[in-house]
Amino acid sequence: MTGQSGPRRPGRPQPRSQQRPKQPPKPPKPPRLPHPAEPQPAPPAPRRVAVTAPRRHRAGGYSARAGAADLHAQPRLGQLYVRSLVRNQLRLSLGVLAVLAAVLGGLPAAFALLPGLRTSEVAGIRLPWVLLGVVAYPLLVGAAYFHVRHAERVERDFTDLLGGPDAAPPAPPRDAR
Amino acid sequence: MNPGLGLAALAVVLVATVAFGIYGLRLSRATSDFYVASREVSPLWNASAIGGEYLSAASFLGVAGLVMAYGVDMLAYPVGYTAGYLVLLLLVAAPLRRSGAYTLPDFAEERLGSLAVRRVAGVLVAVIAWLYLVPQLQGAGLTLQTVTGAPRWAGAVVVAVVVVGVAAAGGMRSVTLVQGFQFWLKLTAIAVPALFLVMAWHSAGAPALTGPDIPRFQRTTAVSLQDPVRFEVTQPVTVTVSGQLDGRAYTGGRVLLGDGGHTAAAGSELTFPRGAAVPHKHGLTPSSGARWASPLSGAGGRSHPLYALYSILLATLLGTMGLPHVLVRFYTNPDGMAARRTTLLVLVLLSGFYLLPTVYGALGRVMAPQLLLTGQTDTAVLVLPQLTQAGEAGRLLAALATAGAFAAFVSTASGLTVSVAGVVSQDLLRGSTRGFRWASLVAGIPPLAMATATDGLPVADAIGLAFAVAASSFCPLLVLGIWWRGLTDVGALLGLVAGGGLAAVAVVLTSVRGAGHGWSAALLEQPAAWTVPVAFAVMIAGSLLTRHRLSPAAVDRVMLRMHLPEEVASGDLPLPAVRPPTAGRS
Repeated sequence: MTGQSGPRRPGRPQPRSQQRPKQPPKPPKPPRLPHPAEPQPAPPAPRRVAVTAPRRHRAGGYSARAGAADLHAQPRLGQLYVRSLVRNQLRLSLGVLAVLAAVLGGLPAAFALLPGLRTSEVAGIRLPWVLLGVVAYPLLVGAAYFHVRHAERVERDFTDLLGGPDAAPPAPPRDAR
Repeated sequence: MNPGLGLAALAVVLVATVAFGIYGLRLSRATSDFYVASREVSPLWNASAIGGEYLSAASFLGVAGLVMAYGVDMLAYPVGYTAGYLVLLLLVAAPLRRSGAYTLPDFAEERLGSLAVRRVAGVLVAVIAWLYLVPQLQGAGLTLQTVTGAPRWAGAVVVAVVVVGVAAAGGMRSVTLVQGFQFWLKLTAIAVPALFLVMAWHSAGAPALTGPDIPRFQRTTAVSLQDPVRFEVTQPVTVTVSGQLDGRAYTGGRVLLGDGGHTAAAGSELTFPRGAAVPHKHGLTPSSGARWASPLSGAGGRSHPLYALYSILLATLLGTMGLPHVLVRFYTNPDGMAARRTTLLVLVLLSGFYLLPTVYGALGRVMAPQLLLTGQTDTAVLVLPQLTQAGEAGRLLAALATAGAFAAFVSTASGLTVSVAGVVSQDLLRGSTRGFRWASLVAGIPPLAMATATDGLPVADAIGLAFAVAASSFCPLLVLGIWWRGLTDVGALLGLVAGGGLAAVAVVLTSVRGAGHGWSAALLEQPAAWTVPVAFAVMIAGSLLTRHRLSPAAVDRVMLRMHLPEEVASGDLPLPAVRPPTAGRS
């Protein structure tokens, strides 16, 4: 219950973006804080065993509505959540953008600084033609694919955080009281 | 060329466009159908439509023409056109879709709550769209002239009439169908002749492209001129002339052309012997194959190639997201995730297409070098297919290329017309369906007047200027508006005016004085490298100085709507200010 990112996603290889320090997990903790001395593990632990994978398609059970409703019921909390979501998405986008800028921006500089590159040949075709005319395109598609996958993962993590079992804020407080 | 088949190809494209338009008219009922096709379009069809709308005259004709004339540096255009979609995906696609705004001015108003910013954005949409429409119409004129010998204005008028008619009749839905169909037509029209072109080059003994010599005629070549041309001879050559040359009339006489400038009148025909060096049109410097194939060499007489290369990349990378017809298309996605996936699909489609114009540009130098004399390198994609096959097969290939070219003009022009009409009708005519029809007319007429009145830059260069204006106005607005909480209405307004204004001034000066030399010309011809940073700086500085105008609660609301995944945002509790986009202002 303490580590958020570990147990939430059991069978999945951790993507690189998740290895960075995470900000979002802080808000869900408060319900536990008022009772530091109590024997904690009793009520929540058995419930956690049943959940083996995060829910993607929410038809019932822990619905995302609870999360969204909570988000708006507690504006400060919602603000924190959304800011961290925006920060994660922006970090991902800027990362890919930096690679793009380094590759596309570096190419003319490389041609300017190393004149040998301008006339070298690959398979009978001049290197600049190969790079700008052919190689650039699969690289762009690859970068886009990487971004789409990871942006969707950031969003999935976010909805899991709101609606998932270890974060569903509406239930535990009632149990505790 | 061959007027009959060319006209038939043109007719097929136009009839198909109108037929799809009528089909769309039967389907579209509510106002929201007109603007966003009710967001019921499948991802592949939507991606094809985006691709179809995006591949304009610049992509279909212009890239090959620039590569042929100026060499490998010009590949920055297609790479930038494609990479622009990647940047759009990274920074804009999903949040913009979720913001629920229909158009760029809508976005400006929703994010900043300011009518003034909305109006300025509306004006910029019209300016960018008109700048973008002019080369499309000029390309149409050039194509019709190449195919049938009709005067330049005829093609422009035909395309403008069809586009305004279809947009006014069917709105977005029909345009979506038309665009999807036209992407695949364009891909076929450039891919099939390219195969034959490569085969023809091989069977001609694969003449070297990167040799130490300037282009020479591979065989005896008759060059007929449709426009008066001034050209420079570098190696004296004896030609056979019918028509007017240097002010004297000839009827098949042989003339020795000495070094220096010569002028041939429209309608004259010059026959060059095999092996003669190709005289180049005035303003286009002959360059050896080796120089042409080498980057940053300034082949063709372009100054400051390194600066130009960076500026082109910056304009196309950041300008794509600011093109009005590109953005409106994202509202046809059902949600933000679909918007991302559609963009990925678009990148795949565009990448496939952009492999091909390079083939025409490169092989054109050996197979149709006379285009360097007439200066109409933009027609390489139209002229080359016919040279690959003798007789009917060649004519059919040429007709296919003509159909693709008209598909390019019609599709891009439709998208632009619809987006300008959307902005005009929403802001001036209160968004009624009838208003939208009148607004289509308003959107189409000014660029038609400009296209017929001016002669114009190379097509891809002219479009590069529209990209530069978009990159220095809407790019900062979108990027800062989506990711930075501190953007204020005053900052946005100042940035839009400064960046868009400077870029527009550069565009006007360039079109008035034409191509030039030296740093001042380079800075004006490729303004993005300095106008984009200026726009960002002004927008950020203006926002920081007017920080007191920020309302944190309002900013929170908008940020929530733009960045929250739909499955979270669609709770049954009515979220404050998250209204469904279809119920927006219509």
